[in-house]
Amino acid sequence: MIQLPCARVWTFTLTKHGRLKVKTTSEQQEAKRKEREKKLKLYNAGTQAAFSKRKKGEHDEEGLKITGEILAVNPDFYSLWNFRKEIYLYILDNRNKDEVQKMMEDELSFLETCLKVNPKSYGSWNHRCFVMDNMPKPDWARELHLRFVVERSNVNLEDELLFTTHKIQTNFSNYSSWHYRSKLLPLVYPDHSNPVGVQEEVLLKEYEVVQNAIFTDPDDQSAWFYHRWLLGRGYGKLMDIPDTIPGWSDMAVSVTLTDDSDCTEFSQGLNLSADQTETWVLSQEKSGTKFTAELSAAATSTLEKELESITELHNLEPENKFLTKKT
Amino acid sequence: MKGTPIKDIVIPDNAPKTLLLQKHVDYIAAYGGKKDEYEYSITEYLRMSGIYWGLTVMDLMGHLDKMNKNEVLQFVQQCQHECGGIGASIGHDPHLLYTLSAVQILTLYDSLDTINTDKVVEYIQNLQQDDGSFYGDKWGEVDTRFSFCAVACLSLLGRLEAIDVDKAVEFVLSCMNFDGGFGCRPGSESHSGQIYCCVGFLAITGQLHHINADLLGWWLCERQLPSGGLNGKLHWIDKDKLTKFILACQDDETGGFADRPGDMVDPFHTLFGIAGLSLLGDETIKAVNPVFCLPESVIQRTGISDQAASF
Repeated sequence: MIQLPCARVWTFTLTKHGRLKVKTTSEQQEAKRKEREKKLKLYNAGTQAAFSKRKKGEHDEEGLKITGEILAVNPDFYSLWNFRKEIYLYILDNRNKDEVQKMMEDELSFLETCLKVNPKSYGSWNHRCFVMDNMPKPDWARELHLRFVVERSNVNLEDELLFTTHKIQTNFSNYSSWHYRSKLLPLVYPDHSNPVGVQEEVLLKEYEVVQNAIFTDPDDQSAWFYHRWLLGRGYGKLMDIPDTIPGWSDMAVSVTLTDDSDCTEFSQGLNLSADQTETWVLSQEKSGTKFTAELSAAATSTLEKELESITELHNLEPENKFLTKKT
Repeated sequence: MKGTPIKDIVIPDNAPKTLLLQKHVDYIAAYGGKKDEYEYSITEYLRMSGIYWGLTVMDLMGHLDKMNKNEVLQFVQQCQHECGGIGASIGHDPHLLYTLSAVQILTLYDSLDTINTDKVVEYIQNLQQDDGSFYGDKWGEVDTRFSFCAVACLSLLGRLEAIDVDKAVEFVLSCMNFDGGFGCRPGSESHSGQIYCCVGFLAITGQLHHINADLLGWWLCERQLPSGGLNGKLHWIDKDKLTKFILACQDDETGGFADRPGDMVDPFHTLFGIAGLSLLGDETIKAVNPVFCLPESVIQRTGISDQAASF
């Protein structure tokens, strides 16, 4: 559900994605050719009619009908969606609200049929945004859980966060939900001392959520990526672990450590310079090291538990590619 | 990724194992002659990109001379609008996507004076928003793909300074995600297409240090399937498997490449099949510049320097 923003998918529908080539007889080929010739005539006649109406500045139902027939088979014909937008803007200025509302509701149902045929069409999603933005009484509830809605209407972010919790509980291997969560947490529970941070107590709870997921399916990369992202929130100083600390013999999670020397506000927590190691080390040292000294007691205890779990997981699954033993 | 079924394929034993260069040359040379076919007609909305794919792949294979240069230049000229933007075909609306394809075509032919480039610059300038992002056209869709189109175009025109580059960079970085990848807008999920555009964008603007290459490389590598399909970071992925996969996507009857073995071929996948093999080191194909997706020799001629070589 969350994975349906206006235009998220990168495909050129023109390209024959996933169209299996089938061998045919010459008779079949001839029949196909005739059928295509007929289709081509209709298509070209429609296109010409639409362009000529547009040139004459005719913004009426007939224009909607002609463009609708072409767009139903070819929703990527962007100039025709633009013509439709011009028609609707004209109607918006020249007819009463109820009539406009009704016409735009029809447009939404038309778009739904287009999207059923071609769910990835940029043109259809883009036009849907236009209609929702321009109709007198948009029904945002119906569009709920489309990313688009979150951007434009005041959906309660805490509800959204609960929604992802629910999604993750039903299915841990849910890349979209983990992604959405990583966007929501800093908004709902911001850590004001750190622009990309999350409040500590929330963060600590979050470790448990992701640990459950990792234990349920240790090979699922979405939970590991999220885990890595969590380690980058909040403890700015903690990330500055020196390369060698004498006497360390610990578990390492092979995810990235961060250093803020080269970071912008945006890439902080994701950046890494070339010579840095790609491991996050969870130390077993109880005290006296730089690592633990800068943490609150709660954080230390959570990370210690984290280390225990990771060690346990490593013992259960020595071959897991996301875990390595540091010696 | 887990949770969503991954469609992988088994490469059939009879799939092509060698590069059928001549077949691809014939396929592309014949493609423009199919003007009265339905399939050709319904792809008119992206004709400008189609021509760019065809010309580029022909140049990479050393056969650009087989294409009708004058016809192409005349066509491109007729697609420029008063506002400076360029449409996909004659009578189609201007859009950044096709403006870039047109500029790529004219760069390939070293014929930028065919169109009014000052107006192109003005068109792109006017599409930049206060937050640094770019509209794709006057209707206002925002996508990091358009940020790439804008800087690629201006860079090829030698006019990068015409926009607020710092703001543009700021916007693209705000689309970076927890997995190191990029989405189409802030908050959108990572997608390989947007990653290509954003990495290309940062290469052109000299900002590649913002990328965590190891993390992003990891994400991309997780996408290589057992058959060898999909792409990743070149020294991490299995090159031999990927080469085998690309070769198996050729159609040994018609020429051209498909998205996967046994599917219908098209010019888009033909360009990316050939460009992919070039990046994998096939010496019968010219070197390709991965940022602009043009022959390296063409980019050298323009004198543009990008960070692609160091990535």
